Amino acid sequence: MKFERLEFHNFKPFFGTESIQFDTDSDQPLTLVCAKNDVGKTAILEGIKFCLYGFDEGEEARTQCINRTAALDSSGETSVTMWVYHDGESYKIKRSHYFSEVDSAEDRSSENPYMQIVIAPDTEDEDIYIDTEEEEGQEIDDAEDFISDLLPEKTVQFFMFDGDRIQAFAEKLEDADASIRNAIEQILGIREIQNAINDLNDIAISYYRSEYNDASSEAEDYENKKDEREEVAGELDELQEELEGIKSDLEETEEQLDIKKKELADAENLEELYESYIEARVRLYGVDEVPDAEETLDEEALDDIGESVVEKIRGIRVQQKNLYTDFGPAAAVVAADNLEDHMPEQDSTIPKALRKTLREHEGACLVCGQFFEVDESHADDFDGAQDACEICGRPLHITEDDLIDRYEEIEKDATDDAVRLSEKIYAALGLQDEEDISPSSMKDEFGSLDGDSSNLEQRKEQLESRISRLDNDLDNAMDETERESLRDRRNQLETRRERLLVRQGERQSGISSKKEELSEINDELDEMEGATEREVRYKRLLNTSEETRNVFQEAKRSIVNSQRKKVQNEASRLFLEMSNKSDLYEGLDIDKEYRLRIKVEDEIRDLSEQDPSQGARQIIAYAFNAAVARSTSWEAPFVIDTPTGRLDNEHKTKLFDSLPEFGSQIMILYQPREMNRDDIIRFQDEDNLANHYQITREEGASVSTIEPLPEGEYTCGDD
Amino acid sequence: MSESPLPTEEEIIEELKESAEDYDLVSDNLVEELYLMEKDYSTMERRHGITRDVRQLIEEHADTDEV
Repeated sequence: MKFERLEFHNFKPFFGTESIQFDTDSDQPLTLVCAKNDVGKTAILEGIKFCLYGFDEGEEARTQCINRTAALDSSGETSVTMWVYHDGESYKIKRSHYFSEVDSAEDRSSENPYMQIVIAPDTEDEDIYIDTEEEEGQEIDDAEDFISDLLPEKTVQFFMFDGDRIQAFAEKLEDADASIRNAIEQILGIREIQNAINDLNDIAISYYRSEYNDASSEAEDYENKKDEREEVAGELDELQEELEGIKSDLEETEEQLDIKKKELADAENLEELYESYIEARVRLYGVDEVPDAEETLDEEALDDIGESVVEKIRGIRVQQKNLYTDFGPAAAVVAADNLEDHMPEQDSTIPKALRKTLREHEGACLVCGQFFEVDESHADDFDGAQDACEICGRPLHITEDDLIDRYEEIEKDATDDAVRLSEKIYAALGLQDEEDISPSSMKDEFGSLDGDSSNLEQRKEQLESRISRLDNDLDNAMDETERESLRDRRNQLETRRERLLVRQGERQSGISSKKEELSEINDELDEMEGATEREVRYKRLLNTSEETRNVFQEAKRSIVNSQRKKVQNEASRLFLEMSNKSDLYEGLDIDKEYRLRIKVEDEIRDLSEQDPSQGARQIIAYAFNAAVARSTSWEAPFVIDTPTGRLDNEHKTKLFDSLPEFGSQIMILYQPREMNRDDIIRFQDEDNLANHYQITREEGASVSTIEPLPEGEYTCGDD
Repeated sequence: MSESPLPTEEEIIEELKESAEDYDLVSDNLVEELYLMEKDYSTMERRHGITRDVRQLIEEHADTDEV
C-alpha cells in the first residue's frame, strides 16, 4: 500500500480541508512534514490510523476529533480520506461522521459514522461501497476485512509509530510480549498464506463442520428412522395377524349365529305351527270337534273357514241318501205316471212301457231308486231275472204280476207317498209343479253330488295328511325352556359378533393408521436417503480442509521462522549501522519466541542485562521495525512522528542515514528541533526527498493548515 | 529459503508441498492452486467469489480422490 493523498476535513486542528499529496511514481521515498508543538503533527498520524481502523474508544473519541471551529460554524462532517495504491489498484478510503452546529464547542457530538471505500476513484470504473444505508453506494458489511487485507491493525505498529515511544516497543520485544509475537508472526507471514488459513478456517472448515454435524445428525436420524420403520412394520404385521384371527372368529361366529337363528326361527314357529294344526283340524272336522279352536283362532279366521269338510261330506251324503231314497219313489211315481199313461187297460204294452221306463232309468233300481249297473241282460231278465238290487236287496226280477202288485202297492202307498213324496220332492227340489220332477236331473244332481263328494274326500285326505304332518312337527317341536336356551345362545353369539366387529373395526383402523405411518416414514426415508453418503462426504471435505489448513500453517511457521532469521540479520545490520558502538555490539538476536536480545562479544545478552542507553534502545527498535518491514509481504508506508525522540545527534544522524532504507514510502512528522538545514540538504542531495510540508497556525488562531514548505526554506523552524 | 527479503513464489509453493507430504488428503495440486487463487484475488474481489472458489477447490480435490 502506498499513499497517494491524505485529506483531513474538520479533523482535530484542521478547519475545512487540508491535504498532503504523495508522489508514488518517484524513487524518492521521503515526505517530510514539519510542525511545531501542538499545531497538529500528531493529528496526522492519528488521522491515518482513524481512517484505517476507527477509534477503539468509539463515540467519545470521534467527538473529540471534531474541529471546534467547524462545530461552532455550522453543521457538517468530520472525515479523514486517504487515496492509496495497493496491489495494482487505486482505492479511496474515507471514514467520516457528522456533527450538528453547537453554541459551545463542548457540546459538539459525533453522529452517524460511516465508512466509504471506492475502487478506481474518479474514473469511469469507479465502484463505491458504503457501510451505511444513509449514503449512496453498494452496501459493504466487511469493510474491516478489506482494511485488514491492506494492513492488519496489529501490524501497523511496525510501520506507523511515535518515535518518542518506540523504546517502549523495544522493551516489549525484550519481554517477548505475546501481542508483539503474534503481530510479528502475522507480519512475517506471507499474506496469501495467511489469507488461505483464514479462508480455510472461515469459509471451509466452519462450513463443512456445520454441514457434517447436520449430516451426522441426519444420518443418525436416518438410522433411527429405519429402526422406526422396522418397528412400525412389525406392529403392522401383528395387527394384520390379529385381524385375520378376528375375521376367522367372526366368520365362525356368524355361521353359528345363522344356525342358531334358524333353529330359533324354527322353534319359534311353534305357535304358528299349532295354529296351522288347529286350523287344519277345524277345516277338516269343524270348530265343535276341535277343543282349542276358539282359543287358538280368532273369530274372523273361524268365519273364513266356515263349514268343515267332514260336515260337507256328511251333508252330501245326506243329500245323496235323500235323493236315492227319494229317487225310487220318485221314479216309481214317474213310472206310475208313465204306466198310467201307458196302461190304459192293463194291456201287454205295460211291460214294454215299463221296460222302456226302466231303460230310461237305466242304472237305477226302480224299487229303491239306487243306481246299479244294468246291462242288457238284466233287461232281458225281467221276465226271469234272479238278481236282486244290491242296494235294497229286492229282487230285480219283477213279473208282470209283481209289477202290477207293486204298482197297486205303490199306487196305494204311492198315492199317499206320492203325494207326500211329491210334495217332499217338490219342496226339496224347490219345484212348484210335479211336472218339474226329473229323475234325470236328480240323477245328474246325485252324480254332481258324487263329484263334490269325491272332491271333498280328496280335500279330506289332504287335510288329514297336513294334520298328520303338523302333528308330527308339534311332537318334535321344542319346549319353551329349550327355546329360551336357544335365544340366550343366539344373544351370546350376537354379542360376540358385535364385539368381534368392533375389534375388527379397531384393527382395520389401526392397520390403516399404521400403513399411513409407514408410508410417511418411507417418504421421510426417501428424503433422507443419502444422509449417510452426505455424512461421509462432508467428513472427508472437513478433513481435507483441516489438513490443508494445517499444511498452510506449517508452511507459514516454516516461512516465518526463516523470515525471523532474515529479520534478525537485517535488524543486526541496521542496528550496527545506526549504533555508535558497533565495535562493542555484534548484532541483535531474535529467538523463536521473538525475544530480542543483543549480541555482545560472542555472548547473547538480555537488554536489561546489557542495559543500553535510551537512544540505543530506540535504535534497536528502529532497526527491528525496518528489518520486519523489509521481510514482510505487506507493503505499507512508514509514518514516524517525532523520529529522533531521545536520540543524540550521532544516533540521529545515523538514523537519518538509514531512514531511506526502511521502505519505499516514508513520511516523517518532525519538530523543527529534530532536523536542521543540513539534514534536509542531505536528503535532497541523496535524492530521497519527494515532498516537504509544514503545518502552521497563525498567531492566536485555533486552527492549523497544511501547506508545502515555501521555496528556499528547509524546515518550518527557519527564520 | 533465499536470502532475499521475501521468499519467492516458487519457494513458497515448494514449502507448501513439503508440508503437504505429511497429509494423506492434501495433494500438491491443491495447495498450489489454493495459494495461487489467494494471490489472484485482489483485495475487493475476495469478498465476492472467494467463498465459492475455495469450497469448489476443496470439493474438486476431495470428491475426485485426487490424493
